[in-house]
Amino acid sequence: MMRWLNALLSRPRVVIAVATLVSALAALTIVLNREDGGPLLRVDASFEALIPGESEEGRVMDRLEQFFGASEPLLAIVHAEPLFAAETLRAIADAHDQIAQLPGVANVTSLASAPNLLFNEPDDPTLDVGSVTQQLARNPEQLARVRNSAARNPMLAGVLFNADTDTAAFVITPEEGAAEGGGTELDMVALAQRISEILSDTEGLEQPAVTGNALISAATSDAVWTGLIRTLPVAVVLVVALLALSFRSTLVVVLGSMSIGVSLLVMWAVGAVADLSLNMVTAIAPPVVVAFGIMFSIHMVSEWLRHSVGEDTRLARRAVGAVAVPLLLNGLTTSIGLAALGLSPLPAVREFALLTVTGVVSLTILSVSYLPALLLLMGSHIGQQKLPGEGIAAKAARWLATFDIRWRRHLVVLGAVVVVIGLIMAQRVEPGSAYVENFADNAPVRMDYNRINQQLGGAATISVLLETPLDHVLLDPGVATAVDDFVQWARSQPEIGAVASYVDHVKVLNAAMQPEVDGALVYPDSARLARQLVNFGGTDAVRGLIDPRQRHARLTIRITVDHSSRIRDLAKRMERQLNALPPALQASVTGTPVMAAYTVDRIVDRQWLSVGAALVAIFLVLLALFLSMRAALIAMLPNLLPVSVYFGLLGITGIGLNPATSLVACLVIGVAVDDTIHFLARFNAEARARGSEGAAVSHALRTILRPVTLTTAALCLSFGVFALSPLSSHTEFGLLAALALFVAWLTDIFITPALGSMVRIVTLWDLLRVDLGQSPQYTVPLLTGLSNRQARLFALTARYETVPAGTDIMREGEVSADICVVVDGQLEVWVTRNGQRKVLNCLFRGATLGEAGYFGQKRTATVTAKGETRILRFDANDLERLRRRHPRIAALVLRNLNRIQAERLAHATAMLR
Amino acid sequence: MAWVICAVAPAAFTAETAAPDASAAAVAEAPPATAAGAEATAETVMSCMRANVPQQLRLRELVVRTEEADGDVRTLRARMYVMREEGRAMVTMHVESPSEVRGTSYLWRELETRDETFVFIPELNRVRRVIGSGADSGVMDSEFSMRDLQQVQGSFSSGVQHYLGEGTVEGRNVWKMRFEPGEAEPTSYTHVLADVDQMRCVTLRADFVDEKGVVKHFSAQAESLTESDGIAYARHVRMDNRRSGRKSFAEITQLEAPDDLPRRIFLPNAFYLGR
Repeated sequence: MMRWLNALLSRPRVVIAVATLVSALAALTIVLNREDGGPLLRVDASFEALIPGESEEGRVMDRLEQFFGASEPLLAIVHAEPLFAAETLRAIADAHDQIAQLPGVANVTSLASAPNLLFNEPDDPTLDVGSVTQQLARNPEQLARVRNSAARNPMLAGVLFNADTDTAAFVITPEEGAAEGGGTELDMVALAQRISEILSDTEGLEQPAVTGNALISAATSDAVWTGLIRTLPVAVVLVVALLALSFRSTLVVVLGSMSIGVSLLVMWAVGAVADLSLNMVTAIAPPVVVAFGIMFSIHMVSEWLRHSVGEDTRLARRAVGAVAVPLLLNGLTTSIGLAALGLSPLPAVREFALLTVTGVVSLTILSVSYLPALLLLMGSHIGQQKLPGEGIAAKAARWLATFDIRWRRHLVVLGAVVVVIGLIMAQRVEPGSAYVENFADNAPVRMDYNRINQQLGGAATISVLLETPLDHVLLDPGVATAVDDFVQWARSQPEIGAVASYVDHVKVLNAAMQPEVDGALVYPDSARLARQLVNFGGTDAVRGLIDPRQRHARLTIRITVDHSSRIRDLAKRMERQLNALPPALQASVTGTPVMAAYTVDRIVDRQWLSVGAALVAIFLVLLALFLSMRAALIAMLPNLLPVSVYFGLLGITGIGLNPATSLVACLVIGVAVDDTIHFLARFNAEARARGSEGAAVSHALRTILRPVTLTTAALCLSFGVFALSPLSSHTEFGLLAALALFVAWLTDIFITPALGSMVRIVTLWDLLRVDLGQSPQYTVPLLTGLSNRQARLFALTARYETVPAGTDIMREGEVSADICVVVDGQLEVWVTRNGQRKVLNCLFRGATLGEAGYFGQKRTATVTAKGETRILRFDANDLERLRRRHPRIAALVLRNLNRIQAERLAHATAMLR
Repeated sequence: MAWVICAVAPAAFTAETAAPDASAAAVAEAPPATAAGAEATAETVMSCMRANVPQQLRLRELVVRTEEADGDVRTLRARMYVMREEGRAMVTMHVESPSEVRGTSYLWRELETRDETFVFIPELNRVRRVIGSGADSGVMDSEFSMRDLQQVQGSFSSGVQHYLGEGTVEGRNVWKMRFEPGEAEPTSYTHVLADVDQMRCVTLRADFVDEKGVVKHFSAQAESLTESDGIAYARHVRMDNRRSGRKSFAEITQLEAPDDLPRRIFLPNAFYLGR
């Protein structure tokens, strides 16, 4: 890998040219992939973006749209007091006509158009099929009769007006396809605006409100876009300010930003190729990638300035070499965490995973290639100033090291307790997402929605799709009565405001044809009569409720709840109730809110799967990195803590696990482990070099505290700015992510050092760096029978020292328990006798010395390096650690040690003879 | 809603004044209804069209096939009787199939100031006079409505007709007409654009236009132009609803122009007995 880095750093201009080319290609891809004349960034915040394409619920929804059309109506209301007055109804008719004339409107249903079939008196041979407004216009003196008949008509009362609140409704069906596609959402907003204006301008009508899925989607798209253009620049500005403050170099900030810019372009291009749009979840991706970009830049620039590289390619190689492996590991673990989100049932979350993994991978590559190349080329302008805050970091590191080591057991126990409490509280985590409540209280879209909810009874629509295998079965009296029983039950549910059913229409037709029959509306007692009535009544009035063959029907249900958990509970209850329908009838609860609720419901199961997958994958990385199960587990512990705190917070606060908040856990796992790796790797190197855990903790903290704190601050700031988003789910995401990352930082400066000081860790790159010369198992008797890897592991458990010429490795008469093995070089063994130095022996590669000390004897001779010599030094503690961690290697080493001892004893015995 | 009834190809209301026994081919080759070389005007075209409407008409079988936007197709069969009296039409229709609705009957009468509709539901054995809707609604839940069929012939009760010029449809010369309803006309259309066959004064194409554009498109299959009892008509016509995507096809067989239709067929208390 170093060869690659050397090659890259020796050709910085080529690296920059390649990065520029990639940027240009990415930009070209984005432009070529956009729709004709469409925007470069497409926003699609509809419910559908959050719903899986392939699922049983999706198939039911498809069938519903196939039978009854895909156009989702707008619902408008007005207040007029009194509602049933000639002037008011004339105003409603005027408004109806004006709305019907609006471009994009396919159909309007209101008191001015829906037939009021119950107007006639029992003895009247005439059937008036006019609307309420038409009937009143024809019979101005019959106001009470019009009002009473409308109130008795279930196709009108509660559906098109609410007499209790003096509210009239207009159901506006847009032309097919008007709500689909990118630009038409704006058309729907404009249409709603025109409707609202018409209603406002119509004398006698007050307080208009308009809602509908398309409008909410449009408002969400608007909020997503507003959120993005609000959070992204603020995040960039804040982090740039942080960078500038940290490095006091504008150029560094600019160069760091350039690599982030290239990554954003690449991410955007991949999104364009995959035909992704910005939705409530994917809109979070750009600020997240910016935050990660800042993190990577801080690590690289810190190392660059620490090495005072300037324009020195040699120093540049050293700086990049020091940080490249940790950065690549950062990229790997962060990508793993984000990729685990690909297991989510929500397409939007999977798209987020694709975008952010793309961004992080490109950031990782650019951070070790493009950014160093830029820094190297501009080296003369960067300067070599001392990094601000290093003194404070050093002082803090010393204090933290003392504190952590002194209280390490307490800290570890505290961490474990927090993890346990968090996991217990996590049992209370519920899935939950609100669509309209996502907006601020004073957002027009929410205010209108709430007003319609309160005044009409239900602003969102769900459906029950009824399917039968044969034509006309739905008109059978037995089947229709069972359906009607369900409708009556549904009307009694607190979450349901109104139900429209074809059964009501047939009952009304039946009553209209037989006005002399008193009492409640009843369904015809023969299927033949029902068919004749429907044939006479036509299907226009019930086109959205039953198909012309009477095989499929839709019960349209207006609900008053918005939260996914309440919608899910209602849907489950409805499904249980629908089980009572005749077997010939297949009934399914469907509708976009229901699908979204079920999908959000699955977030919890899949969340554990994603988190589990991320933890396992990262554990495997740590296992490969530290070459020890125990070390990997220890490195995992600090990362469980912020995640358990996050889930515990969800459980305590009642914040639902929704598409946005479901991102936090995997994201934090991926990020938190980076700092742990940084610390443990550094601690390991320091511990090996210094032989003191306290000093190692202090030095490791001193090295990593500043960059880790800076990166945490950058990430927390970046995520914190989501508080500025108009969507509450984004705010929750940002604040929870910032909080979890802050906890991760606390863990890494308190718990990780405490844990790390309890164990010495060997890392993969330590292993790769160990040079034991050619075939150590054949040339070093102590390592006989070991593989290269095992020999290196043993070497890393011991202390690897390079000794200058003339250094005494052992002194005669001193008490020491170390054993040494010569890796290369030459040692001289000598004693002083009668004031004279007597050389006893010369030792070369493979020699083992000092065993006497190991068995409690004083040193019998002095050993001095004749030239620069490399040795492995170990003692009983090292062997014990080796026995615990790598028992197979320990057994071989001890066997070899015994063999060496035995041979030496035999040799000594032979000499005595 | 299909409060009313009756679907008959507009061509069925037209009559050729010449060559009563001509074949379809002969019809296509027949001379124009207006004098050769004479400049057509709105009046001459309308006069030609109105002169073609028979006083009495019987359709022994009318098949209306309606295709929903999703491709679902339903077919209804009916018999229909038409009588013109003092320039006003009366139409009775008896539904023959499907069997469950067989016997359902409709009577539509054009009165001096308004229309009226009667419906007979056999299962209830009762007649109801229907007001408040009527001629605007599709016949037998099809896209053909009585008013559309009137308007396609330029038969607005009031209003003006404009002659727009000449053109061709399926190789046949047509007059291009624009029919505009009077202010009091109970229609949602602003105007109808029609292509009237110059040979037979039969409307071959018509667009029903409201303020937002074309709502429905009527077309008669020129190849199906035929004659019976001296009446020229298109056997196959269709109406496309451009807004809903629905389309209806009507096939007329056994069209007759009897000299004397029983008057009871058009009486509210007896129309349903005629079947």
